[in-house]
Amino acid sequence: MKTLTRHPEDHELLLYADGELPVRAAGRVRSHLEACWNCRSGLEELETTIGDCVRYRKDVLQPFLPSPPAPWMDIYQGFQRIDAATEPGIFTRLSKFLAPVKAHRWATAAVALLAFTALLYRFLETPDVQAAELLQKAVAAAGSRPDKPRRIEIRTSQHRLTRIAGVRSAAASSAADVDALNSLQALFVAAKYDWDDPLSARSYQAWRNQLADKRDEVTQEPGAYRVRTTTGSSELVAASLTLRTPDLTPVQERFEFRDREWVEIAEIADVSVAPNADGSGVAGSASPRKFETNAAPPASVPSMSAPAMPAPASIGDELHVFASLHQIGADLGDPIEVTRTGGTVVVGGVGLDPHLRQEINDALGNDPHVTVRFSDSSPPVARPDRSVAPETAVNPDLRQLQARMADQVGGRVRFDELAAQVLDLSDNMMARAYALRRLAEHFPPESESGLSPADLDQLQRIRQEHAAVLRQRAADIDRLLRPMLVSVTGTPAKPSAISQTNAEDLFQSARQVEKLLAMMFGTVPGEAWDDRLPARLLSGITDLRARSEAFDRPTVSPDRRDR
Amino acid sequence: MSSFSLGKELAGTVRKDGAATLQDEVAQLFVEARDDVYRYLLSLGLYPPQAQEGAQEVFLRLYATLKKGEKIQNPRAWIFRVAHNHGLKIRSRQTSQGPFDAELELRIASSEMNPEQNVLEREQNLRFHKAVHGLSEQQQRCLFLRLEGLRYPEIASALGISASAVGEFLRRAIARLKRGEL
Repeated sequence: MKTLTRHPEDHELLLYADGELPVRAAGRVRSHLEACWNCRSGLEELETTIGDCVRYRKDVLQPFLPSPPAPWMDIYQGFQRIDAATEPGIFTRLSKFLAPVKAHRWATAAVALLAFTALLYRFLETPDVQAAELLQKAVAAAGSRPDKPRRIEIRTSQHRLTRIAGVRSAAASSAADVDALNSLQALFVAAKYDWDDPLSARSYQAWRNQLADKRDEVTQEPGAYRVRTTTGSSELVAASLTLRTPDLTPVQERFEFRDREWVEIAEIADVSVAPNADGSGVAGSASPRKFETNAAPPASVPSMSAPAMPAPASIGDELHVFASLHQIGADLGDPIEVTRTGGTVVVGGVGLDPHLRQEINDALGNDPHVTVRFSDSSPPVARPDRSVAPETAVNPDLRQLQARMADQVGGRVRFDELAAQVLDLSDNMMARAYALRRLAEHFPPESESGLSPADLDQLQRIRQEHAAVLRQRAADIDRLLRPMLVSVTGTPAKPSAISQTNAEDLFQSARQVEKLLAMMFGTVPGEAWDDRLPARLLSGITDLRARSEAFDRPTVSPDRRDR
Repeated sequence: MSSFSLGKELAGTVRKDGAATLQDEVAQLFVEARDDVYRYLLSLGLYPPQAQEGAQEVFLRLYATLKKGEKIQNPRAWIFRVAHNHGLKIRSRQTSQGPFDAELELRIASSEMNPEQNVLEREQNLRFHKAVHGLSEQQQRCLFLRLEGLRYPEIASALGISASAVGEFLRRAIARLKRGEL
């Protein structure tokens, strides 16, 4: 590729940094930067200033600009207004009705229209559900219930504890629990939030009322209202309280502190637990009560009384979770953890896209064996950048090889396009390889006796779907690269004779191809480069194709399930 | 009927609607981007109540547009383009421009408002803010829209200028900020 014979201008560097240069011009600037310390240093200065701008947005504009003066509107009501305004049926019908003009019909129509307008006005002008009003009602509702301590589970990024709410102190079962509870108490005290009874509308209301500035949001979820309050004037910068719809009982809470610590509190269903003689609670291992979305508790039953606990989650329940995630495409590399622990299947993740969270909640939220738990405490894991970084010095031998391959495919531009295409295929393939390995880890052959025939079929179907896509991607990569690699190496790779393989071997084979592709196309520094790279890649692709064809192939009996 | 219970009914009615998907998508975007749009409108010189109202209006327009079946390639860019035009229209009706900067400087400099920052950080923030304030209006707009993730052609479309002009405004802005010019 040609390099610039002059230093790039400032505006070219900015366009380059912003990805706004055409591919060829970007390539020339990139090549120049590899050779020129001066310009590389200039680019770094530019990036530093861009970083300053980003920090300015985050550290100055976001926290210090005035907050919106009112709660945000319920946008759905706005949609409703638009829907009503653009509804053609009413007016069409009205015009038909008025077509044969007669005086008495006009009068009737006018009255009807007036009544309709009044009704519409009343409907649209209804005030939004306000956080303060909702909390006030929840406090009043709590006052009408028997005042009994409730057992709650407290989760933080590092601890999982249980205690009794509504009492002055809480004992713990170990010194570590005592320390954890003490440090949590300190956090809540600093935020002026009642630690004695944190899962209550009254405590939430008291905290909220003393805030100098605050923003509320009230949303309706299936079977519940959720109040979320954010503020800049407290150590506790955001809190949300979920109130069960029928009786406004608080069932869940989440607290986010200024130091990025978070705490989640949920009510636990355990009727047998009573406070100690001194009124304190005990740390234990009871499971949190699954949030009941539709069941309205009988008025005579105290709020801590819960429906009977469901049976502990089985491996079949775990499989159903995987099947649900698979159905919404959430088993392909998103940072979602699935663990079966304490009689429940816990589905968790950090930094997930809110839309995906919602989908997962919708898919699993009503399963009594599943606890869905997400956290924002860390930023999402960045996917590796597949573009060739300008800082990455490309090995001269590799560059020479790339030039030869580029000649084979019709030039550098076509080669770059091919690289992007193959790396995308490789990403896609690896997502399937990871998914298959994960299934193998969660459902090893020895565990399959715990699955029903229907579950086994389901597991097999998921495996086959992943395997089929992986097979196709491997074939696509092979088709795109083989002619070029054969022409460079001069010898086609020998076909692999693999009749049977398992998920782990298939994964390792795919991983090997992925690594070699990354080296070949220069997306990772090429320390491990040697002139056998094309031959190794060709051989790796051949092995991968053979394994992908052999994977899950029944050999002994139809009942035997291969990993 | 209390507003609370009626609100509950309203929400239930809306969410049971069969065509809820589009509403949910726009509502999701509303939750994600409304604060960014609100801040952008403040930066145009709107007062907070007008900026909030304007931000809400933009998302309702998005819904109405999508409902009509129009295709929008990049909704976020569309939102900022509409917000920009809508914001300028609102601003032209205001008798004076909103105090985007005066109070902000006090807040940045206040140790009470940001006790976790040390004196040096506060001074740096204030200096950078003054440098941003010293940029021309077009430079500021290009910079703010770029910070919201818009590409050059999208900024160009929002501001009614060419993409190369956007590049030039940004280059000048970055050069001034790099030199720390006030």
